Amino acid sequence: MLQMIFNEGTFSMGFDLATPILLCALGGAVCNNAGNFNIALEGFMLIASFFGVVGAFFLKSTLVGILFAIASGFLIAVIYGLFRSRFKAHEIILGFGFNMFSIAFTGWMLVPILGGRGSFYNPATPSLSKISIPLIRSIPFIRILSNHNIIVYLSWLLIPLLYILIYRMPFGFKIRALGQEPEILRVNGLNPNKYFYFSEAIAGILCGLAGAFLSIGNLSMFTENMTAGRGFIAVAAIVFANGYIPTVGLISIVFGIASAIAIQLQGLGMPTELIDMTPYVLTIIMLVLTLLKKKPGQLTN
Amino acid sequence: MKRKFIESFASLLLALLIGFLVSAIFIIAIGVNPFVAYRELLKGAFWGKVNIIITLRWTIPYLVVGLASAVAIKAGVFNMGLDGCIYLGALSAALVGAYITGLPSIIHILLCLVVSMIVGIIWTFIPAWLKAYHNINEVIMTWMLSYIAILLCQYLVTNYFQRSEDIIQAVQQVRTPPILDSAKLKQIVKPYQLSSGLYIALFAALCFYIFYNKTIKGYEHTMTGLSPKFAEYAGINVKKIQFTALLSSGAIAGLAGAIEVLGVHYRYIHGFSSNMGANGIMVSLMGRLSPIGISIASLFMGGIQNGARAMARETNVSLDTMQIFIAVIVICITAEGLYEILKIKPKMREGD
Amino acid sequence: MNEIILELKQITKIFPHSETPIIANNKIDFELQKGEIHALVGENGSGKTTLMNIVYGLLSPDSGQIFVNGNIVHFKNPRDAIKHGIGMVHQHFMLIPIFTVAENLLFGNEPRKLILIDKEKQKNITKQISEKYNLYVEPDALLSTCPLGMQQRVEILKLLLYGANILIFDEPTAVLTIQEVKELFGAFRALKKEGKSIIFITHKLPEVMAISDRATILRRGKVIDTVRITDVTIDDLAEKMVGRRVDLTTRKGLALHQNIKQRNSKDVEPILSIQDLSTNSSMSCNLSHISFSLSAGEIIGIGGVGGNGQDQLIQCITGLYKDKMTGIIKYHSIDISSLPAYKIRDLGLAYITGDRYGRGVSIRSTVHENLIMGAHKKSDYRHGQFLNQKKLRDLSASLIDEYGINVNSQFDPIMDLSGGNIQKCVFAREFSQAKDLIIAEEPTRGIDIGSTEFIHNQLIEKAEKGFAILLVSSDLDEILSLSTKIYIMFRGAISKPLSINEKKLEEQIGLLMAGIGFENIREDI
Repeated sequence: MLQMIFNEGTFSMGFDLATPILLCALGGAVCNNAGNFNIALEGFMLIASFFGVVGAFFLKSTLVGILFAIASGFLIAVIYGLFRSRFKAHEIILGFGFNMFSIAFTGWMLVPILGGRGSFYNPATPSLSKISIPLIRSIPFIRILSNHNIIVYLSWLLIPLLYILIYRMPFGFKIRALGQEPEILRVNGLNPNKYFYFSEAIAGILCGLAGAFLSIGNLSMFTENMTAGRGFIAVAAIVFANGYIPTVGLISIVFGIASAIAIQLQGLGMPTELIDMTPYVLTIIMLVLTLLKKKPGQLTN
Repeated sequence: MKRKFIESFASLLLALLIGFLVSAIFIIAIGVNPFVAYRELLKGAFWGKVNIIITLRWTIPYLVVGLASAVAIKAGVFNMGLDGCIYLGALSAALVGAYITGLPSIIHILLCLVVSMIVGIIWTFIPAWLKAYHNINEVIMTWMLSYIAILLCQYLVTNYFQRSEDIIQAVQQVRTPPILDSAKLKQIVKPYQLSSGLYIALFAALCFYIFYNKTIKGYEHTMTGLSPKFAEYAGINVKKIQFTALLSSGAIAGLAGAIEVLGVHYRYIHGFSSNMGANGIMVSLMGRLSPIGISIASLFMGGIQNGARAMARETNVSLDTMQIFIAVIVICITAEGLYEILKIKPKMREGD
Repeated sequence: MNEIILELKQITKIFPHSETPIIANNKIDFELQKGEIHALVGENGSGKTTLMNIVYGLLSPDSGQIFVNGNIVHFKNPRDAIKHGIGMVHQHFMLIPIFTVAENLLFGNEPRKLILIDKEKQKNITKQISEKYNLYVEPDALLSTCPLGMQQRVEILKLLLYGANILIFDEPTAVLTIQEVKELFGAFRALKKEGKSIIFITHKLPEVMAISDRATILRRGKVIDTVRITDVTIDDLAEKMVGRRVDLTTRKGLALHQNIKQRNSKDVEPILSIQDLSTNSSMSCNLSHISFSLSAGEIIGIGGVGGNGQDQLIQCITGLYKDKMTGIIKYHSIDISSLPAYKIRDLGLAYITGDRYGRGVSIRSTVHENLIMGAHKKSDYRHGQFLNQKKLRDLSASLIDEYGINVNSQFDPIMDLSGGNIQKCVFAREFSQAKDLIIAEEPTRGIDIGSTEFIHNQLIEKAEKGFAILLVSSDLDEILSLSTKIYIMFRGAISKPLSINEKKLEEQIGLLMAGIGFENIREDI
């Protein structure tokens, strides 16, 4: 039975399932480091997935689809940033509102733009193709790393890239200083707002990629609310990892593999609900443990 | 006192106005006259006996969940786990309603309601305790627990409480067996779904009013929310207040779930409440945390839900349009800076 | 060495105020010579912080001129000041706890290797500048783990890195241990050798005597004198700082004192007693073996410049202190050492807080809601679980009347009131509920003379009726005016008691406030 669960197919599927969570979580982690607890990642991703399909369908190109997704993610994230910083909206409620808006907006746009009711699928829409890596694809077990689409590989690349950006480049230091105390930036002659918007932009772009993956990564289609809570699992990953990028990356992939295992277990009759709970239970346990240890933690009031 | 009320009301109106304008864009985009659309919305919500009854049916859960959310926010804490308590409350009421036999109706109903509230309290206990006595962020804890609760309900019902015939017939729905007649809340006007749960909801609003305006503890809750530092300094047991507030909000949310089950569905159906928790938070904010405000806001929300369907029927404006409307309101309500820019900035006090 | 590097001529700064404008700086002349360590001495409210904020570009003077190296300058913000080589080390460090020392030092100016930060070079620059000025820091240490002395050195190095020639230190020794103070003074000497000039704001006279070349003493916004340290004694400085006040203040406390002397022939149980109270928190200025007691009819004044432990002391007594503490605090015979604030309140202790807007009132509530807090639980004003709203309204109205609170309606938001009236609300509430002990913390700070008189008279009245009053104030006038017995706090320790009718009281107080004459000062805080 273990064979049936822990086989190569499961892990390979796990990497795919992890990708949207990973991308959103990385984007959200950047925001977190900049001092913004962003729960609107789900909404960003949903809007991006919609426009990803739109781009791919109308211009018959996956590249265009990806660009549309990234652009729309970027835009919505910047607007969120505007409401958060300029209009002083409450972080949680604003995130809520943006998520609601995304579901409603994409739901509304389905009909006039894509002509679908509840969902849209047109086989003529191009989707991303799987890339088969020579050499790797022949090695047993290691070949689980092969045969994924470009966004998956990009997402893996982004873990070290973002690590370098945030922890090894001057820009990252400014972002983290912003998260600690915006005043410090001002005292050093830097504009806190600029860096805040940068962090939101990064989140928007990454969620945009996540959205593209969801909608045009396999079968190019858009379904109402197709993000189905992945953005929230991303938030759980960020909380779990306390915003530290490598851990965020790792835990997102773990959540993805767990989802794959869950699907297999479902086939074997194990209750899905208990497995679906795992990210949330893990997050709670981590939260309680880490925050009971240090006195004033970053996530306490 | 008056000025604060006017300012808060004005900012609400501003949010509504922006909401109307933005959704008008979406209405015009499909070639419909927004005035016509809004007219149909209003008619569908409030014109005619049937419409009002349906609007009121939807008002009930919004009202109760709105009160639940407000109880927490008033004391300065944030319960994001309302959905979880709603589901758990609904499930417990459904089980008590279906499996406990031989009780007179009043007792049976009361038992269901009380159990649902107790379950809400139990579920909120850990985050409440962690927040009040260890200062751990309750937002994330309650939120995570909410997901767990909903999944737990689904698991329990799928595996333990579904009747075999249901599994074959109701492929779409995960649900419990129907509750006994003794547990059902009477319909006010047959055959519509508006149940006497309305009275319970209004009673809850009344209790809310009395508690916050007339009792000692209510005053302490309010002051704790407005200034916890002052409250602590001036002699209030802030930890206990925060703890109690979170538990109470969980209890009331459980009650909301129970009312839906006992009054409308007569069983627990998984997915019966899509986002009721989120809508409840919205209603409490729109209603500015006052019982009258929340009642009006819940009526408004109920009207929108109902009227949106009529509007969709008559004018082809999709339901999503109203969801956009609501989302925009939520975003604008919390954007304090919006109000400040467009109106006169409030006078800044000279610091001492 | 006589070259004047910074000169202030006739600097005046007035803060508009709803009741009486505050003249923070009154035609101040000041000069800093190149390579000197110049102490700026004065109590709270003497104007020294305002003056330095002007020099640093945080404030602009209403009149007067600033000259740097002989050239007139106008600073619009601190960056202008930094460009002219002026840097200020504040009491609250502008450092990032999650970065290392080196990362903090070079924040905003990181050396690059291609697009990455050159960590080696970062470390080396840190080492170099640290060695150059003999300011030891650990480049790879996480700032949050560094002792405050090292954090301060990082702040200093940062200024030096920006090319500061004039360094202003605002009460730098407030957060340091004795050992760290020695290290800091070593740093001053090293900086002096490198040709830097230092302005050192402090009220601690032993330090002034130990390290400065010259000192300028401010009192109430005016320059009292500028002296060469070698020409004066510490007593001279103390006298200048505190001034002679015999003729200026009426000693209301004197009469009370007589009453007490007569009464204290029999043994009276103290209403409040503190035994060997010490604290150990991460905050600065932990308490060190504090013992004293307070009996009926006494007004005990605790004076001293703010920040010497008075806050912690009050927090411990009122139950608001949350860290480790040892010692016993008793209210009558009840041990209240570890009771939370609300329980101590229930016992009847009244506390007029110095944090008027943060704690003293609920700023978003109405006057009525603020006035009834506390009374609302009392049996007179309730029916079981319900508020007796009529009685509470009457209560508010009578308090407004009795204390002369200037407001249109008790249901107006308290935000609308002037500072003085807000303080009256705090006062009214606390006084009306006090049983026999009142703790008054900075009760008349920022209040006009009329209201101050009123509040002082109320305190005396209560004492005459047998209340015990603990008055904590950085306003020496107030302390001298009201107290029957005076203690001074310095670095968390408390002095021996001074009776109000002691000889040479002001002199003794002056010395104590400057830190001379304490036995219990802790080395490790």
